[in-house]
Amino acid sequence: MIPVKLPNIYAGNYSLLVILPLVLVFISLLLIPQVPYGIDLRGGMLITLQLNAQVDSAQIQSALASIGVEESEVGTYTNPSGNVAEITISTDPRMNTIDDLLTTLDGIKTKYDSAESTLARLRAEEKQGSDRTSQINEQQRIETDLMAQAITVESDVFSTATSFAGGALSVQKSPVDDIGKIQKACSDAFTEAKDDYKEGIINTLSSVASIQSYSLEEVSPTLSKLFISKVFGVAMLSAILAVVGIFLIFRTLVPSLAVICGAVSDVVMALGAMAIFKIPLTLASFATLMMLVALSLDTDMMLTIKTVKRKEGTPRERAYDAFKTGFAMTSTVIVAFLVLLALGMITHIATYYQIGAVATAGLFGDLIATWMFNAVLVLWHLEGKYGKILGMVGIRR
Amino acid sequence: MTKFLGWIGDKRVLFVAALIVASLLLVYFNGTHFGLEFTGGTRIPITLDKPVTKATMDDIVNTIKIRVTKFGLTQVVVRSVGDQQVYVELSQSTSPEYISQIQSILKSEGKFESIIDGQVALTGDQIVSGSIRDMADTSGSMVRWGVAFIISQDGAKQFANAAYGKGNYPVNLFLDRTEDSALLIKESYISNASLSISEVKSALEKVAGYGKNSVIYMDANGGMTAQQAVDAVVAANKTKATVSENETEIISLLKANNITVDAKTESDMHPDIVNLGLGGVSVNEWPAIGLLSAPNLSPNLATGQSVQQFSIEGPAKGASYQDQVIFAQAEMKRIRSILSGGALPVGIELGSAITIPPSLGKEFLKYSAIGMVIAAFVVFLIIAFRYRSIRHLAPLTFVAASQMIILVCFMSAVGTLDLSTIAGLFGTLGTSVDYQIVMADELIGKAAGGKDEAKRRLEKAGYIITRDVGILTLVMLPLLFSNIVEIIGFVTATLLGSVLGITITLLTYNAVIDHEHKD
Repeated sequence: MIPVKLPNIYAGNYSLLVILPLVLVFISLLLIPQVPYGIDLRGGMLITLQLNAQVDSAQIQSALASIGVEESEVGTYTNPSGNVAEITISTDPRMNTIDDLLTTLDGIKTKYDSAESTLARLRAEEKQGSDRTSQINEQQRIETDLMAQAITVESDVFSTATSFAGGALSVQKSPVDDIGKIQKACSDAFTEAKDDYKEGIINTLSSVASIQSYSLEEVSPTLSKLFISKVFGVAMLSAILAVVGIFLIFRTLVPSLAVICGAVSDVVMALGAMAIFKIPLTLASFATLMMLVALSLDTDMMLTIKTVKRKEGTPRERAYDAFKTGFAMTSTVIVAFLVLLALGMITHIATYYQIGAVATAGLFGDLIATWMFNAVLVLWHLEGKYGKILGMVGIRR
Repeated sequence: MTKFLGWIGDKRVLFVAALIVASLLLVYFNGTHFGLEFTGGTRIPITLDKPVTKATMDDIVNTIKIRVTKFGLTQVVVRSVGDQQVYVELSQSTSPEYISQIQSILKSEGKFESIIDGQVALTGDQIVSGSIRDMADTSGSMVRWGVAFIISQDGAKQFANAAYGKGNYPVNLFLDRTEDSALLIKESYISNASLSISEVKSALEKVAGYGKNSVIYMDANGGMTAQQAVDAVVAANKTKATVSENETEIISLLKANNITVDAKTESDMHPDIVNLGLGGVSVNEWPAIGLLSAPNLSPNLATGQSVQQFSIEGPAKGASYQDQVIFAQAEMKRIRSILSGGALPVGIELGSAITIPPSLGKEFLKYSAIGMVIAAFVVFLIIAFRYRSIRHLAPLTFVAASQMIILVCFMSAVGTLDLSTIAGLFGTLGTSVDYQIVMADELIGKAAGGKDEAKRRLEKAGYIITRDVGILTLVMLPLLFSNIVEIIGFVTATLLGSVLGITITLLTYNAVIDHEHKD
């Protein structure tokens, strides 16, 4: 019935199978710190240049370095309209500094406004005959303090913004001691500095390359912080839900742990592949990792249900049976994502490329993790090998 | 062969067919929606300083819409994405100048001014921000609305001077006061049964004069031609004209004469006139000049004493108590928004505009469609190679195809087909056959046991795939509710695809088993 005969990998000494996944997981673990972050998670700019002529990446990088942009990555390709260069620039640290200063200023303003409200109430009470002199003095002292702080922050913002803009700003500091106006001046200065910075970069680029048109995609520090916190929250919640769900389905420790191990090693291998092939961790590739967890749990559970919860034939036969089914399942998904990956490489659509690449790598990892690692753990369990191992170290069940 | 295809007429299978027809009808009536990546256009992303509630988000989207439309940019779509982002999208291709114009409009905040008898009594920056609060009185049978706020000491002095001796005068609240413009209106806008036209005209000219605007009545003396109206604007020595957007002929003529056109909606041009009795006429509202409300000055505030705590209040209109509460709420929201200069409740950060040329979008869509067909074909080849029998292939293909048709129709008619949705559809294409593979493998070669055995095996396979879908849902659900709009399409397609997949698989395979074991 089944024309392609997959070898029965569980017939012989199947324990040796775990070597490959263990080695791969180990290598991947070492590589994980090298997984690059996409601009949506680290903040920064992606500039896409449509060029009239080919350009040398190193030339672009050194030109950018000459205006103080040290960290940049340049990729080039061709599309129907000609040559394209994609430049990724990390967020300048000064931008984060100003962003933090503006947040501080916001806090000062809130405090000042509340002092102002209190003062208004106190003055009204005094008009009605109560003595509020000491409280009014106290509030006024607070206001003076806050104003002094605001002015310090303002000059910090202006000096950082001036250095960031690479020249004098046309925006002036607030002429009067008014926090609202200081705030406005600071935010205008920040906007102008950002515009000048971008303009400086584009001007520098057009000095080394003949630019037909360009587009600029920017992820601000605020936005990337938001994405990171969301990604982290989602990952934690999904992990908890998955673990709870799996324990509810199996209600025994070893099979549940085996399923979870399978999914974790799958993600680890996918991350390893991302480090090797320089596929950035972005919102798209993160969502793909989550999908991989779900898909890998699918085959892991199919394996475990077929081998642990059933009694016909030997465990090895049941595992082989599951392997044939699981192999077919995963291969159709791999094929679909391979097409998406190819599409991403042809069109240079980053979303397609990242999702296609991460999914393909992760699904190959899933084949290895499920059928060479997870299956072996389950078989050890069913053939009573844990008892032997535990017995060897003197623990009785 | 017919023995293996008998299930096609089963009512469960017909139900799936009905779902397909329904989803096709959905596309027919709802149309398909494509993301900016495919249609081409420009998107300006806006990030809010902090996440906001649904109601606040609606307010923000509305305020941004008002800002944008106030400047005559009607081809702009403003939509919220999640709880902390807003997209402003333009469908047509645009010049960089146009984009930067929109960006500056988005950043602009309104300017609040209150004028008593021609003198500026209070400006927006004198109001202590964060001090504006509602103070509705809903305890009695008559609901009263009120908005309280605190002004700075300087503001209090300025107000006391302007208000001195002006008890019961209207306090005109302006937001973005129109200045130095010729207002082209009609006498028919201001006909009022209880007042003479000259009384009304003098009241209008008075408030319009606060901004050095002149009023031109287009229907006076038997009506003006468009040319005469423009001549009147020139005669009034104005280089700007405020006119209803319906007056297209006048607008084009004004533009031809190098006069800046400030087009307003027809209803904004209509003033709201109130008869105060004793010969007093007040203009309560006239959006064309930025006059949004004109409460009366309490005589207590007209004594020259400076006061920092203020309130604007009034009785709520409405027949029932419920209506009055609704009125009060709406009125307080309106006053709050005027006082804060139409400011947004949270700070915003504008992102860089992203422009995709329509030709490139079309190209992307074409390639995506071709890729989808190739992927479907290759997946089919794998399955065909593996099972090689119509008995297994027919239900498998039927389930996968109906799942994909329904999913694509639903996602494009109800959602939006963007890059991440398409990527999700690729994944679903790959997994669309997975549940059937589990089913088919359970049933292969073991059908000899008769119908009961087959049913038992079906249940076993069903056990596996329902657990699979359950876990997939658990893992993906947090992403679905994360409000990360960039990947929501991917997640929705994946989740919806697997739920659809299992439903159709179970329906179809039960039908298949029943028909294979009929005798």
